[in-house]
Amino acid sequence: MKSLRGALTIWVWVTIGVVGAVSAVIAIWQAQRETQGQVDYQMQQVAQIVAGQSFTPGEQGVELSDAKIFPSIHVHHDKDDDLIVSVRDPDGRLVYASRTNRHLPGKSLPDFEQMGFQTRQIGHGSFRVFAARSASGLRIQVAQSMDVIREAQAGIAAATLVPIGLLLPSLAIVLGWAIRKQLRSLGSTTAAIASRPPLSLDLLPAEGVPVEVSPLIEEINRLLRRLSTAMDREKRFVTDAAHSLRTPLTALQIQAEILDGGDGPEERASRLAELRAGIRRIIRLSEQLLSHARSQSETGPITVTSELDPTLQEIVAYYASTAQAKGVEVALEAGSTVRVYGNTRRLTLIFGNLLDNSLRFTPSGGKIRIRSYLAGERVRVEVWDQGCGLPPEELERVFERFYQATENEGSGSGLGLATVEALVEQLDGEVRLENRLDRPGLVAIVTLPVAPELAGQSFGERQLPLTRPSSILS
Amino acid sequence: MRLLLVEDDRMIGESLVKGLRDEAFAVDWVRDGAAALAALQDRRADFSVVVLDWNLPRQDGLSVLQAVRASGSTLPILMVTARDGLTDRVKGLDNGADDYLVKPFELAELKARVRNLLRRAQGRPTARIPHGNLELDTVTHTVHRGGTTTLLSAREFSLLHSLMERPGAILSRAQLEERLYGWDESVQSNAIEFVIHSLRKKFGAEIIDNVRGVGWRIGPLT
Repeated sequence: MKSLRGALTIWVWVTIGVVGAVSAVIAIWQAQRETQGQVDYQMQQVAQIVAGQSFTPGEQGVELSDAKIFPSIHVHHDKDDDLIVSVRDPDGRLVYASRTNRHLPGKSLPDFEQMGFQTRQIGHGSFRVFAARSASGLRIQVAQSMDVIREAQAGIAAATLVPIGLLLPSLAIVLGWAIRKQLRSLGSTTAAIASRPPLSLDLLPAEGVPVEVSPLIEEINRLLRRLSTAMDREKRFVTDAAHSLRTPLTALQIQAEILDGGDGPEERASRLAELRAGIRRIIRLSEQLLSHARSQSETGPITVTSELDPTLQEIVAYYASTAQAKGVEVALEAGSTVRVYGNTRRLTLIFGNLLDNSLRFTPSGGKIRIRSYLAGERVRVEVWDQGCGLPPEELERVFERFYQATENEGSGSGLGLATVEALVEQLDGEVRLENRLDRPGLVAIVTLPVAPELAGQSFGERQLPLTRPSSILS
Repeated sequence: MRLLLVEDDRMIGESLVKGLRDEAFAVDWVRDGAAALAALQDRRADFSVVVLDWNLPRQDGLSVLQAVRASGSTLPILMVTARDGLTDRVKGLDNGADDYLVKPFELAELKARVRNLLRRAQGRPTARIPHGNLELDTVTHTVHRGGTTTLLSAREFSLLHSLMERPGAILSRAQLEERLYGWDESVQSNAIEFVIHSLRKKFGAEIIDNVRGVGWRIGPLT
């Protein structure tokens, strides 16, 4: 897990550390350079002043009393920090030596041949030395202990480094605190999410959230709203399903209770038959609930295709005995090899439901006609029945879940058409009901897009594992 | 006892009719709200109780209930529905339903509630109707008299119950037929006399008085 706060804090601290280190290096370097320059300048000045003096030979060891001409680079004047000066005549005799200090105790400067600035080891100490020859031939040497120079350098560097050293840690602390404080609003969002009850779909609070985070919150809220809609739909379905079970269960309950009553074996047999019919009804309802729930859970594009007309023939054959028992003739006008999307189970569920409805409403002696034909880019299947039709205002409502048409015999679940619609729409098709114009009855019209004829299609459904054929009508 | 059953589901309707007829109710069954209102407008006096489903085609049970109550009728009405929410139950009762039964229910409970409604409508404290030295138990369909208990057939119970409901009132053959048979039941011309004959055989001739040319009433039975 990546922590924004941790990453930001580390970045800030690393940056401050690097800036601090670079500043320190620069400050030290600058201090060294400046001090060196200053010392050198002083030594040059002193040499010049000394050159202007006249010395009498034999004045060896005489201390010049005027300290002013030998300035110290130290603020707090200390004789030990004074420049060490020696003057020799052209013959090399020492004509003047400044008082020795602790850096060069009891000694005077040795005689250096080399002119100009140089760093020399004298005794145990290291010295910066300036040697020059005056116009009158005096050899003047001015020296300063490197210890003093370094001390001065350290002082100057410290003057620069202390503020930096104080500033940077406080900056790190303040920034760390600011980051923590700014990210606390995220923390409250996190807490709001964490403290939610497990199934809560309440939206996340969008106020007080930083601009950078609000798109994320908005997306989450959008997802929550979609989830909420889906969950409401599911809840309604479960409630409706539970309600739809009550009627057939009530029938079963009463049918079972009255089995004991009734006069004579014939009446008893008829009551038993009714009980069996009641059981068949509830089995059918549970099957329809199941296939409807499955039709709702289908997602993703459907790429599997199947031949439509042979499937229709199979459906008609399947319902032949029911039709015969009811005295209804079913005629199928189909024979093309056109392919449509969806597996045969799906098609069976779609057209089986429509035919089942037609059979239920067409009276004995009636005729149901099924036509399948190409209409441009789409294939059109019509199921013509000879029932009583529907009032115009119910033609669309019957596709609603659990809607029972007024003339319904009470045996339908109210799910068949809703399932058909869901299954057809997933194929990018359309289904609608129309009243027949020539006589009472309904026409169910399904239009489906024609699937392209591909070479690989002969493998049929097995070739495309993307769809789940088994999830439709087990 | 004539009962109007308003239920749109064919299976529930058919089995309820049978179950209630077993219990000696004369049941008339209609399958939508409009038909229920029509039946009640035409022959309200005939019905002792209504079992009314809430979800009905054309006109739902609630509007039927409201229409009946709006006309000033106090006819006992038992609402039957798949809606079990508190608000629905309260709505049903507030609109004048005398009782409320949620599907799925047991026939035995429906019968008990119907009996209870009838008992309350007749102002009786229990399920037993006393008259003279005789007592009719409307739950067990038995007659208690002098320490002996006699079981009645459905028709016998129904006829005796009709006469004992309002002692002294004379009921004509047509009125008794109304109470004993549903619309779709075929009635033999001497069916009522046959039932009266079997009752007199069980409890003596004095149990039912014949008022010549008018009908019958319950005997004084002292």
